[in-house]
Amino acid sequence: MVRQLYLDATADRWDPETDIDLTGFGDGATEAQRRSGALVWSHRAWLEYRGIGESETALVRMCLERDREVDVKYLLSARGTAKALAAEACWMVAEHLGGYLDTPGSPVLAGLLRDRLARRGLHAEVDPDAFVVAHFVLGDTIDLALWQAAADEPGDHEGLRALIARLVAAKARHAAFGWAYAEARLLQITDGQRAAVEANLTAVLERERGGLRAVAGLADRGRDPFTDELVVAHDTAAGADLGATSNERTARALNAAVYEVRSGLARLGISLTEPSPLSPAPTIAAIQEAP
Amino acid sequence: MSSILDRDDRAFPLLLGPTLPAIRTLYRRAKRLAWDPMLSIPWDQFDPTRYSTEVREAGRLYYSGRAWGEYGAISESPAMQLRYDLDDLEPDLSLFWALRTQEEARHAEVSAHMADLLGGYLPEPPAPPAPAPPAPTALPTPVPTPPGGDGDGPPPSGPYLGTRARALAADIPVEATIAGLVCVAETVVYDVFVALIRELRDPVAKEIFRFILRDEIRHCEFGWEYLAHRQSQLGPEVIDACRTAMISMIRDVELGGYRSPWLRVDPDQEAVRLERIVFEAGLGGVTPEWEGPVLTASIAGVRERAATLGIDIPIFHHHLLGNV
Repeated sequence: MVRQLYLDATADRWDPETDIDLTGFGDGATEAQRRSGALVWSHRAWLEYRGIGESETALVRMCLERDREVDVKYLLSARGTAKALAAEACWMVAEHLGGYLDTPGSPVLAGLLRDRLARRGLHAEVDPDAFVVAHFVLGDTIDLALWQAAADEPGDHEGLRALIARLVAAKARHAAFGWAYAEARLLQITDGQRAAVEANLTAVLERERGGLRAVAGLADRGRDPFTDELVVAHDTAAGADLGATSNERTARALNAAVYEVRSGLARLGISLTEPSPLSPAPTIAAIQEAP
Repeated sequence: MSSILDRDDRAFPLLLGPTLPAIRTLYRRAKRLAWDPMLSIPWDQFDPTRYSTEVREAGRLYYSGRAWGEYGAISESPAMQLRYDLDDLEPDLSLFWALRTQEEARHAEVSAHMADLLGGYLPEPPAPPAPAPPAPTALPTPVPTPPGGDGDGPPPSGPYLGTRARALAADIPVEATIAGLVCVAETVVYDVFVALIRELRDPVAKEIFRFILRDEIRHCEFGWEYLAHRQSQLGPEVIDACRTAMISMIRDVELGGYRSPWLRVDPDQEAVRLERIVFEAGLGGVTPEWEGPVLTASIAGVRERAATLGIDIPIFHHHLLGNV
């Protein structure tokens, strides 16, 4: 299974610069809509870039562990490439829509994106399976679900549709890898390892619920003008066919992905527990109405 | 020794546009020249009946060894990429290096597959031969040399760190690791492969090395381009660390016989013999008389290019090659 995913990844060679034609994309959008689109795609670029480090951390860790399959390492090397290409592609779209934003204006989001992945993944006391399952089962299943939601309403632009389809194909491989890994490893772990896996899953779910990808969750941690703008930008860009997904559909996709992960992991003897609730979230309408 | 893992993650801004044009160009080439280990090599042209059992066995070990070497790079490469991020270096480096990691995986994969075709990939080296009684030799006893200092310096005072450990060690400048790993080790390998490809007669072996070289040239250029970019900002301490790393890589690793067993002070003669069989069959490998001049010229080239960066590489003495 992992071998086939790696073979598929090596066959899926592309170059955002030459294979994606954005000519005419967003031409009918207003300046405000384009700015919203640029913000959404900038956020996606930050996430994809973070994914490079996620892949490389897991790869170093797998190389440090004894008796890990070479196909897992090959697949992780291909995942790093996919993340680099995706980061570049998202940056490219943001640039096309008026300008990539190089800094999230929200310290909460910046904190979620700077979550010391390498330290967590390479620390000897962190169970490697706990790291891989949390990021490549939970994280990548959510990632796939959100991109699939974007693919379900891709708009009319052929180049953008092609780009989103490429990204979804890569993300489907990444999530499939996570599940293949989980199925191979989780049925034979000790109680201590199981506790580590579950704790790590909850920690990653807290970041996901907190708005790492589904930005409406950011508002749970505190409002600021950037967060408000980013949340509204998703709805605005979705309405203008700029490859975004509305917050409502994103929330549904996130919940469905978490349900899928919870069900799937339960079959492997793992519980996915929701993090402790934060302060009540303001509604999207409240954010949109905020001055 | 402190670790870069104690540092905070990369800070924003995250500049994803081209900030290092030369490195971005290499990244672009890497995207456009990507290849598929199973489809790009004409595996169906391999004809094992062209080779005797002895040649196939020697080739099997040779290509397994190549896979082990490339396999090591699969963990070195991501460690370097993590370093770039934790040092807040230009994202161009990480984009290029992400692709480089997969390139190393490709090299391991084709090497292992060729070993399979020659009789089966060996997951580990065969047991070493029993130690032979000491024999008189006409060769001078070489002085053990350290990972630093000059060409004929005193023995090392501490353990030599591998690339992965160096990449994650906060007190080793990233430029020094690039200088040793890329500007020396990868450049020497590139030069040897460029020469070797002219000696190969097996069509599949030739294509394997041709595709590997197509990646390796970018890997080498990355190192030299990045050090050239950094040159004006490097203080004497970092320049000295680069020099130390390059000297160590030449003297202790290359001339020490890490890659080519014939260079070792006390070489495994069976390993040297097997490499010769592979070389004479046009499948790969080296012989001392063939590789010696190539290696000497390559090190001279490294020395010349390092000088343009203000890095002075001394002359080395090797017990078989003389002054290098």
